[in-house]
Amino acid sequence: MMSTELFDRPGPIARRRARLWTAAVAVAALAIAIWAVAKLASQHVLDGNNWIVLTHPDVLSALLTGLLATLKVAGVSVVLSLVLGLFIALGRMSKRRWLNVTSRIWIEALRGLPELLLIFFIYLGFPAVTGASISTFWALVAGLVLYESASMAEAFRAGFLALPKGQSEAATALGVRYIKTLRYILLPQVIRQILPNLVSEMVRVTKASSLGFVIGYVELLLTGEQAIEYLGGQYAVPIFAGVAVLYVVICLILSRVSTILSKRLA
Amino acid sequence: MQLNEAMISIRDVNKYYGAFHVLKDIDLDVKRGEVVVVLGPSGSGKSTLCRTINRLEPINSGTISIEGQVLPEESGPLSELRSEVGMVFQQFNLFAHMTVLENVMFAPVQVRRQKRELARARALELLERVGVGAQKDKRPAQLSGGQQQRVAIARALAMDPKVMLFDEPTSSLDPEMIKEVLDVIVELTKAGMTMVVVTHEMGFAQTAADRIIFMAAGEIVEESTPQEFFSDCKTERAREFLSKVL
Ligand SMILES: Nc1ncnc2c1ncn2[C@@H]1O[C@H](COP(=O)(O)OP(=O)(O)OP(=O)(O)O)[C@@H](O)[C@H]1O
Ligand SMILES: [Mg+2]
Repeated sequence: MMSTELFDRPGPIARRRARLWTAAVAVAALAIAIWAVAKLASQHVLDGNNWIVLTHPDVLSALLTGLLATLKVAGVSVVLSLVLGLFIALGRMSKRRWLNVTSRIWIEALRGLPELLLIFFIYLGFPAVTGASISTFWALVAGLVLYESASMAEAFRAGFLALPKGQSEAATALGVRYIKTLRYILLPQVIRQILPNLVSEMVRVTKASSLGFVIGYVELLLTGEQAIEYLGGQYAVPIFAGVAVLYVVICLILSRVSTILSKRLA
Repeated sequence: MQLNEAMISIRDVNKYYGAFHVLKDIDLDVKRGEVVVVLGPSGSGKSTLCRTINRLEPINSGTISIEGQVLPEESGPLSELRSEVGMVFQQFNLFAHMTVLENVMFAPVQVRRQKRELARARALELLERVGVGAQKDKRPAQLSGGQQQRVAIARALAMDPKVMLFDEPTSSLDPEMIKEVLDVIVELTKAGMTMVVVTHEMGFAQTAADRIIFMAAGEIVEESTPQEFFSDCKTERAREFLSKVL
């Protein structure tokens, strides 16, 4: 019989079984790793002189320029979608019907559309409709913000709903007006509560900024690709690995910052 | 403005939650310095009545005025009026992310624009007065219920309210903490504060009230002095209520 209590301590039989499974999985993982390394090595992918390309100043500076472009898009998108998301969440919780309905439509419509479509739509649609041109940077930012604002709005809303109603009632009863109640009473508590969600949304925006390559915005991923085109296919694995490491580092820094922030806020 | 003028004046107030008629033709005057205790069975509309006085709940018809001034419709003047009506909730509702001292200083600084130093001095004095001065740097979650409620009272007093509204201030407290909170409230009645107190503490009602209001099913059924009410109430519903709670 399976135990239905999730947190029972494993007994001796369960422990033995767990050890057996651990060993089996470890052996399998090791086998796959060895096979992969052998395969890569046989195709000369792991040859040291290919990887040395990552220390080349031109490659490095290209990748760092790409990284900067990614950070710029991600940073601007995160800030804008946080602000927009907050306003949409407030609209969604408003008692005013038109505000409420508008925000609900915004959220449902934009969460359902793929970001890629939004980016294309703006890049091609904006000039067609307005006659003005739009830079790849702003088209990318707008597409990301449209999508992300809806997710951020839902994150904010969940945070507001989780707060006891008494917090805003007490402020209201003291004569504190809406904006100050929001600023000093509700938001500090909401942000602390949803910080992990906000950070994972930020990570998502950062990764989604790589979609910029479809409209030719030169960010980290596209920089890597251009470098490979220029240098040759044998450098694909090292350079993509370098790009991957940079993405992971951004995300690690973000989650580190969030840990520090939530300790500071606690 | 005459001194005998009503501090709170409630006229023909009706309120509905959807089709449910929760307040029915309520008429009530509370004089300056008077302590009115509201009694009644659960669901009779006591909290709702209390919350309409500072318009935390809007009403459907009738008027409510404080010191002769009808509750304003616009949010600005309404906030101003609310700042002069202190309210203490059953669940304390202290600001969870602030220290005790910050809780008490917040509204004087943000609403009244008092200087921080001034607000701080006054807050410390009030915390001392309700007996929680030593807890000033703690978060609400680190206090007992009784201590939290006393901080909540200090927070309301920091705005120098003309009126204090208490909605079951001791109902979520452990028995041994009820007295420490009631003592603070009794202290206020002696200082001449105008108060409306919803409570289930019959001992408190008997000794502290100038007047008892008995509500049932959204109506004021009986209105009398504590002596009259507890020795010889007029209605069957009040008798039935008393037989359950005494
Ligand atoms: N937001 C609301 N929506 C709908 N009905 C409500 C709402 N708030 C209260 N009620 C109903 O209105 C009636 C009066 O509620 P109220 O809280 O004023 O009663 P009360 O006398 O304070 O009771 P208690 O002693 O239990 O606190 C109850 O029947 C309650 O179910
Ligand atoms: Mg109640």
